[in-house]
Amino acid sequence: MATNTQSLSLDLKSSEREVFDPVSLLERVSGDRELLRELVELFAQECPAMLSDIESAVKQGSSSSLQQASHKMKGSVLQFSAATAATMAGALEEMGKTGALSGSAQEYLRLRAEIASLVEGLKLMVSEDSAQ
Amino acid sequence: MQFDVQTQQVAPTPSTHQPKMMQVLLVEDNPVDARFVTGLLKSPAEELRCRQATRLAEALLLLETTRFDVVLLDLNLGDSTGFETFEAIHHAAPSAAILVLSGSDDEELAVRTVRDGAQDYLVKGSFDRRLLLRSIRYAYERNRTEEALRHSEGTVRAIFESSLDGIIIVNERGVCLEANSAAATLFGVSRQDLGGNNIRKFTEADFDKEWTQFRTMGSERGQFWVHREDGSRRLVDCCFSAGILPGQHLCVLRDITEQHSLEEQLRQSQKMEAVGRLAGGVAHDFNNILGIISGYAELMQLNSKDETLIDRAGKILSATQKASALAKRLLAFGRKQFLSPQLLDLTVVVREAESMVRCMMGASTRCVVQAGEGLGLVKTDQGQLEQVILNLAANARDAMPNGGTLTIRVENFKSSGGPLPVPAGEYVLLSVNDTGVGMDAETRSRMFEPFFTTKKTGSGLGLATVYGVVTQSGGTITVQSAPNEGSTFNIYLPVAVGDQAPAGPAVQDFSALQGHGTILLVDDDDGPREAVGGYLEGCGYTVLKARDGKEGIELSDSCNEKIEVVISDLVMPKVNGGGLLDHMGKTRPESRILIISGHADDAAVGHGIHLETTSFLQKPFKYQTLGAKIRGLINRPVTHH
Repeated sequence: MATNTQSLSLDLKSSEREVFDPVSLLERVSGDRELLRELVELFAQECPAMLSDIESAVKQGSSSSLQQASHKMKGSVLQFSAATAATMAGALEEMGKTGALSGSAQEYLRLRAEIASLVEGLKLMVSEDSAQ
Repeated sequence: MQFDVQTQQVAPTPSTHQPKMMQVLLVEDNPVDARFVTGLLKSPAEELRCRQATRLAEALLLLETTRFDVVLLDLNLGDSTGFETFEAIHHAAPSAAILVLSGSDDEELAVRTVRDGAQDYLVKGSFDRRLLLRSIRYAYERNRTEEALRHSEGTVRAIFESSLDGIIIVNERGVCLEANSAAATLFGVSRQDLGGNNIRKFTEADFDKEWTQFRTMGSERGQFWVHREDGSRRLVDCCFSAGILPGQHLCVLRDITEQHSLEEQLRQSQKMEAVGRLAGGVAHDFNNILGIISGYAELMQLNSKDETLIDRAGKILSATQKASALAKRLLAFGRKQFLSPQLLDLTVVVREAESMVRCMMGASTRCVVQAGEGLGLVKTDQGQLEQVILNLAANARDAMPNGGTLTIRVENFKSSGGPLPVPAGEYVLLSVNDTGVGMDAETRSRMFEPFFTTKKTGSGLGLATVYGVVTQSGGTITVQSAPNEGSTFNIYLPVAVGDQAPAGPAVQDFSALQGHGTILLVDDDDGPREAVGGYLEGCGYTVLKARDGKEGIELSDSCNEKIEVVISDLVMPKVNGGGLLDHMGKTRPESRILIISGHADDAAVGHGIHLETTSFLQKPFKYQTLGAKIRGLINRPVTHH
């Protein structure tokens, strides 16, 4: 299992930027790849709705909805060791909290792209896993 | 349904040291996060059952019906956010260990929830399976320990609050840090007034000695006096426990004032009993000797032709009468005096004594006598009771050299027992109060002792006599007195129920003392026996003299004459008075009996002798009285047996 983790992280390091930390993620689930696959599928399934909640909050200019929806997204991406996505969701949450929504639409677009990369990366990780 | 309650059992191997399945409630609205947590909870080492709620309302509903050991709580839910979520759950499940799982690394919120009862605050993404399971386990154990502590604290608190003994916690200087209500009652202040004050504020100087002993010698038990704001004093038995917490000591306090006072009373009455026995014994022997002296003096008076001798014998007789009166007072104190109890209305007795009391008191003292009608009757000796009133009045007079008020009052008194000085029942209360100099504690403790006096010319027998008469009448005497506050003597005499007045004393006929016939005289004391014998022979009787009951029986059995009268002492060696009289009753039922003794009727009863059917003459007696008694007996039909 240690060998698998190492080869995986080496593979992912070859990309330009690390969207999430696969080593720490695998450690978090104690190497339970079955669970990890299930979690990735669940996340892939849930995140469009989560993103949509954030988007409509931004569009409607609803601070509290933005704070709540971004917080929820932040919690999830933190579980996947996706530091960049968590920072972005955190920034949106803070905007919601303070009510300073200018730039929130832009920030949302950045988050959406980051989440897309994250989902892609996670799927890749679990598919490589199952291939092995 | 917006949420999904899952029930998962995630422990294939039962653990031996985990006998109980841990019940976990996960409250999380994000399905990804929820699955993350339930996935992590899968562990062979932990035996737990996890149920899930996605909204607060659902969680509260579950908590109503199920007891959970641990709640894993996301604070931001669809229907509640932040600290309010925690508050609602903590309120609904106060005994569950709550672990907050949050997406925010919010230090302030973390501190606040933990301070208000959460066991831990975990930030999502910062924990793995091991850390989560460990946190749950620790939270669970910590919560159980806290629960046990809360339970123990609750028990201790209940004991503290409901204890009948006072409990206080004091610091090194004796300042009261905490006190229960029993302690506040004991000190006569509120709990607030007791707290923060040094206990010395409420105690007398003896507390310091106990405190020093406790702190330096490690003494664990002590007694000291508490003085209250209302002026009363309480004696406290204290049990110390040093250092129950650093610099804090526990004192358990018990009010033993009543117990102490009862012990004092018991000690006092035991002392009086002992002194009484001694006085009675001395008086008894003294009476025997007086009997011999007066006997021979009387013989001298009767037989001598020499006027000077007759005159001197008269002086001896008058001195023996004075000595006898003294001995009689001692016997009264020792409760060995022969009383003639009658049913009396104390109003009548007090009214009769009133004129003498007024004469005795003089002009500067006001006499108030309050004696109402309808008093219960008491059974006692009228003469002795008058003596009691006169003795108390004399003391009152001496206590009021510059005048004052003497109040004598009689009234019915009903006791319900308890703290009252007499057992429950009906009494007549005779109280004698003066406004004089009063007595201090030392005097009060010794005043009933014979020969104890505070007067220059006092005999020390006045109050001793009072005590003897009252106790012999079945009554109780109490005294209230303090220096310069006068004195009140309260005498409680039990009301006699269904009793008839005893027959009055026999009329004595001194006209014809001469007689004839045989008299058996039994007395182990040689002096009195010879003197009495000599007198009776002088009167014309034939006297058979025996040294004890056995000799008396032998003399009686060998005598062919009719024995008119048997005169016998009570306490004798070999066969005593009772045994002799028994024998006489069987062999010579026609003989009259006369008991002579230095003791009173209770002694006779103790020897199984019926006073109703037997004549009694208390030593010392005048021979003329003896002669009259014998004449009376011979002329009276035999009543005994």
